[in-house]
Amino acid sequence: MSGLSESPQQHADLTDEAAAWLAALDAGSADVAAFEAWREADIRHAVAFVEVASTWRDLDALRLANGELAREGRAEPIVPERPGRRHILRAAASVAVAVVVGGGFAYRAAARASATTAVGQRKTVAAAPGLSLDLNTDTRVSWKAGMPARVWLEQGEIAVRLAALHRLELLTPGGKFLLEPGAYNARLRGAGCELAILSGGGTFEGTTRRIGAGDVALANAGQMALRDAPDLGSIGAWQHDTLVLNGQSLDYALAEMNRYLPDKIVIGDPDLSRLRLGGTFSTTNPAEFLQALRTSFGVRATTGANGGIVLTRI
Amino acid sequence: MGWLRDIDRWFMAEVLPHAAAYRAKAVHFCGRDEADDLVQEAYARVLKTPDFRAIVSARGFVLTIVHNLALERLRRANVVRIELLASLDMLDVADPAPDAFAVAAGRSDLQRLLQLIDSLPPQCARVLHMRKIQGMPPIAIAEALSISVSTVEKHIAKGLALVTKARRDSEAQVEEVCPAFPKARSSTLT
Repeated sequence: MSGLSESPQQHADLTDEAAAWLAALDAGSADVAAFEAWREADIRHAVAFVEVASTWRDLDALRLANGELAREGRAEPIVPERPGRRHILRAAASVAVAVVVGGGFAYRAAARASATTAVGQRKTVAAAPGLSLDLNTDTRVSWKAGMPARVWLEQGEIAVRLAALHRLELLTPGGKFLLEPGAYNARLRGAGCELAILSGGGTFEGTTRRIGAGDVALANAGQMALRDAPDLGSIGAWQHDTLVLNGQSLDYALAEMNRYLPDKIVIGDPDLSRLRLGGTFSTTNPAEFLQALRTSFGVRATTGANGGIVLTRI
Repeated sequence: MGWLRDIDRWFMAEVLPHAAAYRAKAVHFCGRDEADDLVQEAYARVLKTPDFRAIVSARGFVLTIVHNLALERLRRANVVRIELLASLDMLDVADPAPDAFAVAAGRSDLQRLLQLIDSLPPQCARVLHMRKIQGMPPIAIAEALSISVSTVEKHIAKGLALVTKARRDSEAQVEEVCPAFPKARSSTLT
């Protein structure tokens, strides 16, 4: 441990400077021209700034609004609902679920706001007070403010952030979740819905079993089952435009990657589907993924006439 | 964040998620004390790249730069372990194979970020919490805490700098468990 090099100290100082600029820009008190000049003056300033900005952006993912809740990584106790109200809610929800399962989304459309994303798109919406939704690729969602707010996941995948003192009914083709403040990831899989609870907790309608932080629940045809939680970090990776693989098969990797690509990648050689891969890949840049396949496994990617990509052994 | 340039956004999306891998490589060749500096120098070169959009694999690109910078430094050094130079020449430097360990370790880990905020000085943590987690504008925070906006700004700057540095330190720990040698290929399981 010599630790005599000056650079770590300089580096730390630059981080401080960059953070000061960012805070000033954020507060609107910065002289933007002076900031630009500072950034231009030394490339190390630009590096320090982009690192700090990266932290700043990642902190946005924490917008949960309740320090204690988030700090504990678990939810507050459920506030018991009065039985009468609960029954009414349940009745109302079962109508909603029936309609959703039936494939009709037109009912009460006027009362609901909605958002969609195309393949490869991602979008964040502040749906209602205390409720923010991130839509992954090829997703359709609608919502209605209220106490509790309601969100209908009709297609695709969303991340939900619910602030303190709010409640949410999440209606999916597989059934309805009642959620407390926290962070969640909901993804439709066939007719079912997979809900990962990053923080917070709640219940599934029709059961008394509580689901909490770290749980992954599968709702299908009004029934809920818990499954072993995979790495929760990888579930939310799409919010950073990344796909995290940890030994999954190429089949699986392609199914995931293809969700983001208008031109799909297909396996041209059946042997390839047994390959297993690990790593972090950009979902916005399939070239990186293809390059890794080529380098690691000698897999060639050929673009077909229709834009699709076929994988074969070199 | 209107103050980010295109290259900054690209850098955040493509380069920074693999920070642990760059650092691991730098540590392997130059040791812990110089690693941070080496990675910073590589970042500086990357941010000066005018045609960054043409870079197919940012990860491979940065790893190559780290490798080349390490080589330059080793050649300048008076005493170098011979096996180190040998391994430098052997390594497939353009290998952009993903390492399982480089899964942006902790970068997207909400709990880890919350812990970092918790470990800040109390007022600093409170202000950063109000700004980033509760989404309050700086003026509202100033009113709520009866402090000036410029004090809010100072707390945010301090908190942001401390969290950024702490994340960098945690990346330095990731290197402990990762193979920095040609075994990097073992990341791709069969």
